[in-house]
Amino acid sequence: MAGVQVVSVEQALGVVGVGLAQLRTHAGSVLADGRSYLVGSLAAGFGNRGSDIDIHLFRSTGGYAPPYLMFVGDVPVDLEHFPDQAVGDLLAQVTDLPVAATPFGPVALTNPLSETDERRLIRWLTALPLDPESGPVLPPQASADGFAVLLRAVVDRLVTMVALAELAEEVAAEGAPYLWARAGRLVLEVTCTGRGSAVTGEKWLPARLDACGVPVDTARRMLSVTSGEEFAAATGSLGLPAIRGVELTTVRPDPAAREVSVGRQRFLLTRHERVYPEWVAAAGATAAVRDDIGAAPLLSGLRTGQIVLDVSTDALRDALCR
Amino acid sequence: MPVDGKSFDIGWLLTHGAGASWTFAVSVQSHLEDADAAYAAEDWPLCVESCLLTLLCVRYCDLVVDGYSQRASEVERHLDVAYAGTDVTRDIRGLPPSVGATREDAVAARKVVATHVGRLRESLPVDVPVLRSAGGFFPTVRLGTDIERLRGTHGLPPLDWYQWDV
Repeated sequence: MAGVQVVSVEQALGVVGVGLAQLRTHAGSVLADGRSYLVGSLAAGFGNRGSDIDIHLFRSTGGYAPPYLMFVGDVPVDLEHFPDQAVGDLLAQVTDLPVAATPFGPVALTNPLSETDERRLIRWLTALPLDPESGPVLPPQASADGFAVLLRAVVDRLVTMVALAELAEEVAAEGAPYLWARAGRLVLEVTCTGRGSAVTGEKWLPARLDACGVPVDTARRMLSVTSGEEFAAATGSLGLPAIRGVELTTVRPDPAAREVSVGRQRFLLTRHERVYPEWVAAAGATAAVRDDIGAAPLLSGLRTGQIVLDVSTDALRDALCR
Repeated sequence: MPVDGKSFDIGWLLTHGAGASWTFAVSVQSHLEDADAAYAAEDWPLCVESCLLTLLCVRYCDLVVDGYSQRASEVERHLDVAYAGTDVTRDIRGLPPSVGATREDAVAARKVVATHVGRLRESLPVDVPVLRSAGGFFPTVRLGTDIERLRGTHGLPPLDWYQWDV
């Protein structure tokens, strides 16, 4: 596990100036029942005086309870309750999935987790028990399976962003450089995750890169790419293969969007409560849709929630196992 | 547009205005505090990162002011920044790389953030306390309670406060 290794939960809490006994006193009976863990940035070895304390509690009885907020002095404390079975439910999703060996590390060939479960997995991989007798949330052998799934999730985001940047470059509009820089950023996230660094919160990327030993110049170059050519050169210098986006993705109508009628007129109503008299209703391989309707309408439909873009599990499996 | 100076429509306050105020409390304020904490810790890369996230939330909040609902996906969010052509999206694209950022980078980023957060505050219907603070939590809850009460008297159902998510 990369990252700044935290020796004890007391040291992690010390970053925000709170003692474990002080936390227990403020929480009262809340922490008396079940197993309690410090999770999030502090547990992962990051954080500063302005960080929150995130606590996950596991109990054999009762179900999920919505998170609630309390304060120790000025420090916010988020507490969230889980049933013990939540751990087994998560492990069942990530254990023994087929993986492909890649330059980043083993990547799961499917992406089974919702974003909520992905965040839980990250937090539980780095959780620190308030009581050492509680042991880790996840068994140590779950780490490899968990990171293969986390890596897959970031690879999906990278492939998606490369697809957008490739399409934007075809339009020759001003948006492409920003999207290539975002793709460069995701290469760095993939690198960190592949090296065993995981923490929720995008803002910790510089700290993760530092902990993983990625040189500042390398990172700045990836964050500053402005074209497909620069992106390919930067990833190539890291020893990575070419990353394709358009050919590894598909598009489909957003299932949350629906057609509505007003008089004789038809509109598309998106999940963002926007109404469009004209819209994109394409489905299929991104490359084929691009050839059919053009890159600019495709990007417009994606931007406005008319259509969504997915990474093709089959196409990515073929690319990873090639 | 206001019809008489600074007034605004009650229907807007109880729907999009309430949503924008809530989004400001849970997203913009949080990242703004992160930027301040990082600056105090002289962690310039983290400060620039937090400024970037603040501006992304400001942009989302701008959209909510205009009636946008539900979470924007990563695809939608970044295509919007790439193509919207607003002042805030241009400034997001103009931020320096966070890695290796200097004190000067952090100072400049915070200045940009202050401008956009100030503008956004002006567009909100109510003054929003700092939600995640010991002194601001209950006043913020009070705002929500009052908005729900007004919604009731105007024949509106309870608001789904969690429809807005960055």
